[in-house]
Amino acid sequence: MKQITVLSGKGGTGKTTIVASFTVLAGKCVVADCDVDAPDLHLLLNPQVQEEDFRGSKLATIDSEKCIRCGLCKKSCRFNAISDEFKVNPFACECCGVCTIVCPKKAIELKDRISGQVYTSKTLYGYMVYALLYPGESNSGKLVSLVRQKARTLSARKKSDIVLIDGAPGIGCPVIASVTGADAGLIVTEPTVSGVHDLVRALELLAHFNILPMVLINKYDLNVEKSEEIIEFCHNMNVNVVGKIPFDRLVTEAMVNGRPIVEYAPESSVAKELRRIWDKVHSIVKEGG
Amino acid sequence: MFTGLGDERVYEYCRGKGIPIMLEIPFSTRIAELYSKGIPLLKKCLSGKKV
Repeated sequence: MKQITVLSGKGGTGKTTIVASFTVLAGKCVVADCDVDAPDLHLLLNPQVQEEDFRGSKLATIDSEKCIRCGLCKKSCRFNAISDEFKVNPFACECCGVCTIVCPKKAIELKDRISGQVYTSKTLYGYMVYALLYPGESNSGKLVSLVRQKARTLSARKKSDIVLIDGAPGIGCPVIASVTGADAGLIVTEPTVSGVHDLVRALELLAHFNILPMVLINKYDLNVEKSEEIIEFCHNMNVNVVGKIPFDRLVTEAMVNGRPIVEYAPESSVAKELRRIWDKVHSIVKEGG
Repeated sequence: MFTGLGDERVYEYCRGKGIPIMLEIPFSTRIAELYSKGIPLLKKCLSGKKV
């Protein structure tokens, strides 16, 4: 089983658009939407949910019957999560448990709460795992890990040899969770000042975790000069640029219609290039051993 | 909000929720090219040049 994570650093470069098309092209694969803060891939792949699960976390809960309002918990809480009325602010509480230790009346307990939903589903093209983090909840990295674990299990059960992972923008916790242990990281970049800036950061992240990097330049003709700079930069870093895709209104049109571009406009130059790129990515990852 | 693509869904949603639409920006290659060079859209607009 090979795991390929699509990431970008900068948001809006086209990760989900590309993953949706790769899913169609890969045939029998499991796709995992690891952008749990703002998952969108399911809007393009129309999955039928087969299994629903949730990820829980903890929340300090004060029993007002037992509470003597001594204020020790409030004083000890470094997250200022306990109010003057001795109520816990669920968004501020990091469930460290210090309040349960200092409370002389044992009036505080860490109780379970649900922080996000995980869905295992079937699409026209294979299987898909995705999740929705509830607004205001933290720890999206842990939810990503759960999505990936479910995707791997599903992939083994269905004997698919590819797990495609749609990552979140950025290079923080949820992105780290979506690249760790992957066989390759495909960075989707664009020839813009911010795109290049964040490409460098994403490459550093992959190098740090010793993950094989690949680069795809999306909307390359918006700034041909900058695209050339990216190609040269990658060449010097010994990073494979697997292809470049033109800026095309059709891509946005396909998105508005909620369909992967390779299916919406299979004869378009974008779709042709995507097919070529997928074959290349697939063979590089397979050769990786 | 980007306009000129898609349907009325965003307009309807905002109307329903009473959310004002402060600015509509058309889907434009020219704007995307400006952005690629790090030039803010408003800078060009305010300087009187048409995008």
